[in-house]
Amino acid sequence: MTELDQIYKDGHISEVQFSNIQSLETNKLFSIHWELRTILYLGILLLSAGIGILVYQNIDTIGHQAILAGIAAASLACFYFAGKNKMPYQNGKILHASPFFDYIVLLGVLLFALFVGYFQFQYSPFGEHYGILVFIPTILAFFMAYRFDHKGVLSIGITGLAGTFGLSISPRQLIDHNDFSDLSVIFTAIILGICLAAWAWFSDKKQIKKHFSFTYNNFALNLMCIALLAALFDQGLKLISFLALAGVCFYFIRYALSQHSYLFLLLSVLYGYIGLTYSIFSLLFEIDNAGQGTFLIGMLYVMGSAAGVIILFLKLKKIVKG
Amino acid sequence: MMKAYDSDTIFNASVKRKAGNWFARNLISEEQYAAISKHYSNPFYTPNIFVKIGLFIFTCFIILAVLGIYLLMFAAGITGSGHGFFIFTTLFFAGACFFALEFLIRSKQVYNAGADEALLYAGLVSVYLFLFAIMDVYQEDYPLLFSCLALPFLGFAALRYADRIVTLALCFCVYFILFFTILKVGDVAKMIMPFALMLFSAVLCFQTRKLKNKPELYYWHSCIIVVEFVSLLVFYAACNYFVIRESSVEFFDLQLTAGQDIPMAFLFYILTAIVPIAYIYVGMKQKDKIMLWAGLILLAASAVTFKYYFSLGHPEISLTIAGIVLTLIAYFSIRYFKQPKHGITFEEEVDADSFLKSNAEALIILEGMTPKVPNAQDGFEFGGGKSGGAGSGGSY
Repeated sequence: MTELDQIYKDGHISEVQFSNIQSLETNKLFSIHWELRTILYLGILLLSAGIGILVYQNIDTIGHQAILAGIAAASLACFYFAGKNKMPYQNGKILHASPFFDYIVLLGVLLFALFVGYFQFQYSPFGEHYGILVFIPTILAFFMAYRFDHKGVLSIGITGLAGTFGLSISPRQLIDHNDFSDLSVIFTAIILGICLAAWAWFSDKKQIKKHFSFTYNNFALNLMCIALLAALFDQGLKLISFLALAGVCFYFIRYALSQHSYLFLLLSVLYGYIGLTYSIFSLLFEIDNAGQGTFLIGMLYVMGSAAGVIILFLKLKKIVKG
Repeated sequence: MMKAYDSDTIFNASVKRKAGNWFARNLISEEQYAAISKHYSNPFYTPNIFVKIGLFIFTCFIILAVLGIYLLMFAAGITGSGHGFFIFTTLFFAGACFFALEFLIRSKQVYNAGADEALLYAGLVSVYLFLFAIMDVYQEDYPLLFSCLALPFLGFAALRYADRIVTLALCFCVYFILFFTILKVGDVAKMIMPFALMLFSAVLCFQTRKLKNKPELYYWHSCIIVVEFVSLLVFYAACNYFVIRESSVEFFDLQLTAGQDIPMAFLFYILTAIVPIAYIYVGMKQKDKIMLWAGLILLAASAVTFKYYFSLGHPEISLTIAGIVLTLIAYFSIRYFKQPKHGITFEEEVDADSFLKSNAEALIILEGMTPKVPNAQDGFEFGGGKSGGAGSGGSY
């Protein structure tokens, strides 16, 4: 017996509805929306990678001006298309008529960044000030993100903003590329994280592109927590780092609960748990270096704390309501 | 005994989900949806994916901590051969994990909640370690025997708990047994291996596609889909040129000198090219997402295979061309399917989840109301356009 038969038999729907739903279900259209979008995205990714390598390999033969002009023209063409098909600005989500709109804006921003990078490589107008070099595409990305309501371009903008201050915050490079043993890098990361979270909070309050706050907070949470964990592990200021980490996790757990965002809940609980566990184990080793008693207490702590977190997760519905 | 979870409740959950879908498409009224949600109660605890990941991780922590304490208390005194101790420990742990799992399902009504999966996998890993401990690694036919011994445990777990990853392991186990059995045949093995695997996969695939939509097998629906997907992949792998060539060298000591090719190379080239396209075609024709996805992934695999043997040495040109081809295919397909054709459309499916999220508030109020059951005369009532509106619930 199918679900439809069941609710019909139990008298929840009328006969007309039953036959109507049945015929709709059997003649249901097959949607290949996400398949085609994935193919398009892959195509654009491969294409820009291929062009990037082609340009790099043929710098000597094509000539710089030709390459620069070509990239600039392609980028401008993308923005021209976007400008022609744009919807009026609004603070909420914007639905664009063309399914290609998002991809073309993305391509335009990527090409513009390529253009600025190439320009600097060839003529170095900014000299050694690489911050400015990153900052120009960043401004454009932020403008495009807000004007055309594009979360992907917003991520590029935030990544660029961090790059302006010398931080790599794309997910894969966050840990590998940053020298967190340097205290100034940690401070920069924390301040940037606070600014991003504050802006997200402010936008939420003022209803400016509320759906962007996920992207801001996602960067802010990961940036701050990793910087603080690095400070906790490597730097001398253990107590301050621990308290700051606790504060950040507390803020984001509250945010997650108020927004029903389970991703932020999971991330802040995990980061907080790593910090707490590290602190407890280093305290234990300080007291008694690697004895059996230490090991037993450590294991009991892991058991108890993990059980505590599980109970927290299980009781989540009640906590949110209460 | 066969099902660990109550299958009526799982069916109820499915009724609720489908009703939500019909409500999202305005096929049933809000009152009807509220009545259905109330009638088909679902006491199972199945949390959001991120909570599930959290529960999984922290359950694993507990299991490891318990293991640590256990070893601390008992393993320290063991001297000499710890073999008997190891066998006892794995068996004891497997039992403890399954006991805890059953207890959790009974008392806390968990279902796909992360914690139950963690215990299930830990129990099965213990069983594997137990089998590993009682067998002699240097014995003849060790992989075959091991797979045969593991098979009943995996089969039992897959049937009882209807878990997708266990089903995947079960599929691998079955294919392992098939592979090593054919290998034992001797010289003929290398000739019949691809065809035997293809035949078995084809039979498996047709059977699963027949069973997939049977309502009485709903409990194992996700497992059946896993089996279908695996059978599609193995069928392709069994006739992929690269796989055959490499495995001939690996398992059948095939010596290829330069310029030589494997027997029936032409046939396998053709199959490598045709199978993914056939998958995509059949997937679209029969509206089967699994087949379509398998076809798309394997098409990429075929492209890489051909590139590997017929490379022109210009990866950047291949990249650019591939990018252009994909973009063009997507562009023209999107334009073509913008208006539905042959029952296929580019339009996004009305997703009950996103719809319910944005209308969550209204629904919470409704759940508490006493619903009325409409009779036949009421016919249809289209609610006003409730979808749309910018303020989604802000939950991701």
